[in-house]
Amino acid sequence: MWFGVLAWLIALFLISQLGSQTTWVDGQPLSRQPALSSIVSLYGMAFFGLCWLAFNWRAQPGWWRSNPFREVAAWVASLEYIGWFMCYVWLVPVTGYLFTTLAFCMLLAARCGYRSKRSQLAAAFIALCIVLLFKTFLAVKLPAAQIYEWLPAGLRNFMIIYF
Amino acid sequence: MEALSAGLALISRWDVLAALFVGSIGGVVIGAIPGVGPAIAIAILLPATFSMEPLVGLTLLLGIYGSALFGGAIPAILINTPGTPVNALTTYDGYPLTRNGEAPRALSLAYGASFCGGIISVLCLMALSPVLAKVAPLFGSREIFLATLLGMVLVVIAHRGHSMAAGALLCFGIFLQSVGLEPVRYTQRFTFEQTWLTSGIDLIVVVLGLFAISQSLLLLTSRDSAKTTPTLGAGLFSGLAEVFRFPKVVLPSAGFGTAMGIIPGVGEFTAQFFSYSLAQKLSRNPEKFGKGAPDGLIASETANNAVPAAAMIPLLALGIPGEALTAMMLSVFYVHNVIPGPTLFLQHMDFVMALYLCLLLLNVLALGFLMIATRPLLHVIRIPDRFLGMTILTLSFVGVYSLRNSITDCAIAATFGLFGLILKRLQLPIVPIILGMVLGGIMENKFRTSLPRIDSAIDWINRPIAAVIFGLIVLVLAAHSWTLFRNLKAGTNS
Repeated sequence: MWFGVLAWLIALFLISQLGSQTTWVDGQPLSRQPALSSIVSLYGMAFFGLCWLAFNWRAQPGWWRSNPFREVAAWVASLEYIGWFMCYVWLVPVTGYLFTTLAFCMLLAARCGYRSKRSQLAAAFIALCIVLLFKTFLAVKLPAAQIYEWLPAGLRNFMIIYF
Repeated sequence: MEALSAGLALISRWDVLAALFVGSIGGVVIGAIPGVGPAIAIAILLPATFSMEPLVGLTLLLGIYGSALFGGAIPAILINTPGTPVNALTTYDGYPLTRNGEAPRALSLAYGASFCGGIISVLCLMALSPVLAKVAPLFGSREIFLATLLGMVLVVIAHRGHSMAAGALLCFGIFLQSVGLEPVRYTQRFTFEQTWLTSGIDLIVVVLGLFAISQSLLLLTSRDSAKTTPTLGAGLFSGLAEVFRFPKVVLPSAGFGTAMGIIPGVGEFTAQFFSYSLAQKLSRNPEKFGKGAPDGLIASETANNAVPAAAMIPLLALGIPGEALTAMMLSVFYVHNVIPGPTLFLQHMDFVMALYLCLLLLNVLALGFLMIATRPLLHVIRIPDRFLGMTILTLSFVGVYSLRNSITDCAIAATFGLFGLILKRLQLPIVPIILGMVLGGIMENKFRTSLPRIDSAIDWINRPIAAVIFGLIVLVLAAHSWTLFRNLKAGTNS
C-alpha cells in the first residue's frame, strides 16, 4: 500500500509538470497535441493508481499502521550489489573486459560466501566463458582497455580484438 | 508451397542452422535453471543479435523462447520448482508422479506433450498462413491502432487480482516511451533539460534492468535453498508413446495454446488454465488431478508449448507483440529495418515460412537433446541461487554496455533493476511496463497516421475490421467490469 501511495504521488507530481515539460500548440485540439501520449499515460497512471489504492484500502484495513521499513530494508540491501555492478561498469574501460570480469566474478562469489577453491575456480571459469562467448566469439562492441596501451604492439592488438 | 520451399532454402544455411542448434539447446538448459528463464536470456542476448542477419538473430532468440519451456518442466517435475513461471502448473501433477517413483515417466510425458503442442501449433499456423496473408492487408492504421488498444486492454485484465496495478504500470510504460523528442514537431517531452534524456529511454536498457538485473538482485539478496534432485532410473522413453493415448487432451490443449497465443496479452497461463480444466472434466479419474494425473501433466505442457509459435502471429502479421518476449524480438526487426506487419506477409512470405520451419525444427532438436541429456542437466538445476545471481549480473553488463558503451545506460538499467526488484518483491507484474513501452509507441504512431482520414469519432469504426475490434474491446471491458462489480459486492479484492 505504501508503495502504491508513493507511486500515485509521483504520478501527480509528473502531471503537475505537464505544462513545463511538454509543449502545447495553440489552436490545435488535444488529439493533435505533441504531449498527447504523455497526457494520456500520466492521467491513466493516476486513474489506475487511485483505483488500485481504493481496492486495496478495502482489502487491507488499517494498512497505514503497518511498518514499511522492513520491506524498504530489503530494497536498500540490494543497493550494495548495484554498487558492485556500477564499479564493474566503470572499471571495464580502464582494466579491460577479461581482467575486470574475472575479478568481478571471483570477488562477488567470495562476497556471497563461495570462498572455497572449487567455488572460486567455478566463478573464474564462468567469467572466462562469458568473455570468450561475447567478446571473442560474438564480437560485441566493448571499448579497448586503457591498460592495453602498456602492452607490446602485437599483443595489444590481439587483446583489443579478442578480450 | 512455393513459399514453403523458399523458406526451406532460406534456413538451409550453416549460420541459421547453427543459431537454431545453439538456441534450442541453450533454451532447454536455460529453462532447466530455476530463476533464469527465457526472458532474461533473450534480454541479455538481444544486443548481440543486432550484428547478425535478421533470420539468424531471430532464429537464435526463437530457439531459446520455444525450447525453454521444455527444460522448465524438469525442475517442476523433479524438485517441485518450475524452471520458468509458465511451468508452474506442471508441478501439480509432475511432482506427485516423482514422489510415486515415476520421475522418468513424468519427464517423458512432459517432453512428449511439449513436443506435440509445439508441432501442432506450428502446423496450424503454416496452414493458416494463406488466410493471414489475405486478412493482414485489410488492417490499416486505424485497425492496427484499435488492435493495439485491444492488446493493452487484454494485458490489463489478464493480470487477475492485479488488474489496476497492471493498468497503472502499463501507463507508466507508455509514459517512459513518450520521454524525449516527439516524432511530429520534435518538441521535448519530460527531458528535464537533461541531454541524455533527449533521445528517450531505450527499451532494451529497461528490459535488461527489469528482467535481468532485478532477478540477479533478487537472487543475490536471497538465501541459497537446498536443491536435491532424485536419481533417474531407466524408462525415459516410456511416456513418449503414452502421450498419444490421450488425443482428447492433446488436441484441445494444443488448440487452446494456439488460440491464446494469437490473442495479444493473454498467453500461456490462460491457455493452461482452460486446457487443465477441460482435461479434468473429460478425465475418467478427475479426482487424481493434482495428485499425479498424467492427463493433467499433458494438458499443461501441451498448452504452454503451443503458445510461442502462435505468439509470433500478431507480431509478424500486424507488428503488434502480445507479450514481453515478442516485444523484445520486435526490436531485432526494427534494427534491421525489417518492418513486421501486413506487408511482411505479402512480400516476404518465404521469411515467415523460414521462421515457422525453425519453430518446427527446434521442437525436434529440443526433444532429441532432452532424451540424451536429461541426466547431465540435473547438475545445472543444483546451481546455488546466489551464484546464479552473480552470473546474471555479469551477463547483464554485456547486454547493456554493448548497446552504446554508455555508463549512463548502465545506471538507468541498474535503476530499473532496483524498481523491478521492488515490483517482484511486492508481487506486482513487470510485463505491462514493457508492453506499454512497445505498444505505446505503435499506438501513438498509428493514431497520428489515422488522424487525416478521421472527421468524426464514428470514422474510427466505419470499416468492418475496425468495428469488430471495437466491439471486442467493448465486450471485454464490459465483462471485466461486471466481474469487478461482482467481486466488490462479494467483498473481495480486484
